[in-house]
Amino acid sequence: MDYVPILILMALGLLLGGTVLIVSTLLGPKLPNKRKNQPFECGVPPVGDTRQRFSVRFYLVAILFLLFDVEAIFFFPFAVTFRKFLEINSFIIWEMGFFVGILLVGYWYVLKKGALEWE
Amino acid sequence: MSDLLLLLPEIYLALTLVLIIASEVAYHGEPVRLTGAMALMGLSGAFIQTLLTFRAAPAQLLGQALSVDGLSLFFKLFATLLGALTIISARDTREMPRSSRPEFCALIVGASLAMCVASSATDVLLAFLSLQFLNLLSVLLAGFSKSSVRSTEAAVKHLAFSAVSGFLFLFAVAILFASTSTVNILEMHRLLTANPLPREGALVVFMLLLMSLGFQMSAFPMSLSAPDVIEGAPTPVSGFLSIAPRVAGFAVAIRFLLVLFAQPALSPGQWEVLGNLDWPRIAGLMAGMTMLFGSLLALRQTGAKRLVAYLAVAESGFLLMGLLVLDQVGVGALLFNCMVQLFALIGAFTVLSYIQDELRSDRLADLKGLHHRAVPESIALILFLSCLIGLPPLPGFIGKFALVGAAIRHHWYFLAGFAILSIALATFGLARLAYSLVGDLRDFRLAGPVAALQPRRIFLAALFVPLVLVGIFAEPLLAWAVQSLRFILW
Repeated sequence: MDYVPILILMALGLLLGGTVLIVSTLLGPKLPNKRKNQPFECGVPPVGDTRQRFSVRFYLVAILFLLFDVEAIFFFPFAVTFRKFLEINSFIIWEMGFFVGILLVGYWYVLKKGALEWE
Repeated sequence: MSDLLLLLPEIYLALTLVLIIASEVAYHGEPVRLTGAMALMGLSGAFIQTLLTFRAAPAQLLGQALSVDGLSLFFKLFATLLGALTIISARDTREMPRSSRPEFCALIVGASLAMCVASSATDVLLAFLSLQFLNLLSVLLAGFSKSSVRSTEAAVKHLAFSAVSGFLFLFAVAILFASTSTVNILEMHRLLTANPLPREGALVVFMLLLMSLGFQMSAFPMSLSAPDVIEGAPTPVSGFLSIAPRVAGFAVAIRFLLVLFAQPALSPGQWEVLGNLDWPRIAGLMAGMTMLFGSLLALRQTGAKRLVAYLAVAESGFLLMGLLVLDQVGVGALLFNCMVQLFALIGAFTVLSYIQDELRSDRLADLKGLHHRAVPESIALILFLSCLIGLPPLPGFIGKFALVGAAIRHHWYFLAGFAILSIALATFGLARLAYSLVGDLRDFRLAGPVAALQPRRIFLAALFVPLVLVGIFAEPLLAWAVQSLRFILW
């Protein structure tokens, strides 16, 4: 029952956004023109086909980002509760150091294998 | 601290893994890198450490998350031995580039580590994590040969199925946690004995768990991807993949099914069903279908690797039969069969790897007359596969006899009948393979002998030694396997 305002907010948001889009589609003028239909390239006329192969480096960087981002996510619960654990003993710092150490080994492997080379 | 002493095998394996990765990176491009030797040293160190841990077992570690007892020590020995044999058998393969051998060794050591942890896990989350760890490493191993499309396909199929299996496992775990508020399976056993789940709830949990572990064990509905994965992977990896996920699945299944769904019966050494769900019947249906699926489809195969893969899947049906009779002799027979399969499947896939390297194909049509051109390898292949299937003078027969005997003793006559039928069908499958190896005797245009490598031959001969020893010392080994089942610590 406490969460009904959130439901109402979601519904109103969908309603408003949907209404604006639908009304503008129905009532707006439709005058397509060759230059207006080109893909937007910050004012520069587009050159060539959009469907070209792009390098696998992007994928590698994205996957590595994902992995280290998940590591960062594991830091959050640690960061929130570690002061309370420090009152008992310092084990939690060593534990987190071990976790980071394992991931540093992985990072060193990635670095040396050249997965982060951009060229 | 004493916890860590009992965990030394896993610590050895983890350190070996780190050292292999470090050596690969630090000595990248050196002509002589002893990565394989390092991996073998780590694995044998873990093996020896496991033997030494036998004195200290049974124990519960890490807040009851891990249980070091006879069962887990058996599987740790198994896992380290499997890893070592795979690394040795992959030494001369041409399907995987030499430059990526360190990564291969690292993945195998990691997979052995995953198997060790999975077999000791008494915490549902740890079991899930270790099984998924093993599955991910299997995916990477299956897709190891980047130039082969089949390898990539095998990896994607394994990934998809293992993701589904993980999801089903977590769903079952979630329901169990909701009913018992604990994640330790021994605690769950205590709570479920006091107030068991209602029949429908128990059925749902059991089916989810069985389907999830069924993928891991290659049992019927979830085994559909297993032959594709085993065939597509590079051949030494096929040998590993045809054993490791299945045995890890059985390790977790033995622990989970016997602790969560069974309780000790009045007669010593037997279990009876906990609660009011007759789950052995469902498992029996799955076991029977797996045996028939594997052995019937093995008859239709035109590729040697795929044929052996289907035979390996049929094996899982037999092993599942050993589990569901709820008798420690049956589970002991399961463990004995795992031992036999280890040597038989690694040997068979080593010969297949040799055939793939020399003939560049494993189609049965291309194998014609290989028996005359590479005599020791063909004989070894036929012997290893006969051992796997369970033909009489070989140790596999003792294992199958023990399994079928356990089934008959507990009045599972239908299932035992299916088992015998499936052994017969598998023998016909082996006969097709042997027929291709011998070739058409009327054809006198024999090609010259195929090149052979001495180290590989020595390795194949060396694999026969433990196989024969397992056969000769079958009684003590069966007794030891039964002994290691005294893990129920309630």
